[in-house]
Amino acid sequence: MTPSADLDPVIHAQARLRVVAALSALPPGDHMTFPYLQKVLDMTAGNLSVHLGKLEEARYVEITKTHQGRRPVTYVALTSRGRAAFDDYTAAIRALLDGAAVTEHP
Amino acid sequence: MTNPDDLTPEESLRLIAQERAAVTGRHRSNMALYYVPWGLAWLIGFGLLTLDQGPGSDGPWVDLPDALPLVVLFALMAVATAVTVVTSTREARQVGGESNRRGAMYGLSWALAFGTIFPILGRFADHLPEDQRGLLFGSVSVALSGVFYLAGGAIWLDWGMFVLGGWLLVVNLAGVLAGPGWHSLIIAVAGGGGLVAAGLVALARRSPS
Repeated sequence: MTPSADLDPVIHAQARLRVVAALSALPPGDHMTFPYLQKVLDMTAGNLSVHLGKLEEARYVEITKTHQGRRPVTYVALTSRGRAAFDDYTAAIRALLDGAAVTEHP
Repeated sequence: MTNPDDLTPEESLRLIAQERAAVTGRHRSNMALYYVPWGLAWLIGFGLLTLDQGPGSDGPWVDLPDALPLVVLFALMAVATAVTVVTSTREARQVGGESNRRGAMYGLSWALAFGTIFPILGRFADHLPEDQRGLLFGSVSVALSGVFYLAGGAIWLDWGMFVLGGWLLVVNLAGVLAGPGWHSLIIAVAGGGGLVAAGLVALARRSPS
């Protein structure tokens, strides 16, 4: 069994983990604009869209298209389901590290 | 190389910390933009008032043109207001939701409080000698700011802001007890200095690495 067998495959991929981690830094009830998220992560719009699509499919993120005055704007937010999945993932990673520390000193 | 299985637990934790810091770090740099312009306005504005009032002496320390200290103070406060408005609108365009509404209500509270309390002070100031008049406006303004920073600390669970608010209230009281010229000196150094320090602390905590 590989260490990653129990880890949520939707989150356990570099690009999506970065997206979810960045979104998790906002308090629940907040969202960020697509260009802002893109700037924080330094990803291309196409690449970010692909990963957001997969996260949206798993209902981990919510994508809202609306207007700010006349400008169209896209908001991205972690859903409560996504936040719970991220918390579980972080806990699982910590448990793996703790487990590794224990087996190093039997 | 980007194969998911290559992500070790250590790398996962590092990425999580890095991206969360990237978001909170941007917010903390903005906090510096909220504090430092106000700190400089108080430092320079109340500093000039100090020179003009000459605390503890019979006359001014430096003979400045009559209107100069207040003109400079109000001009710098106008600049600080502009920086605050620009920073908060920019932040509101990047991040939205409940925090935005909280920030908008908080900003509106400052405007409403100062907009309604200044006319009240003006009503009483007519009956006071000139040095007491300045002390009245100065001390109530600083007290109000202190209370707002305390409330802001409570709203955002921000200890830095909370401590700043308490500090302003205490040094403000000390200044009032010491008298008009001393109040300006204390607010310039401890008040303006405290705001600048709060900004520098926010900047220093920008990247927790």
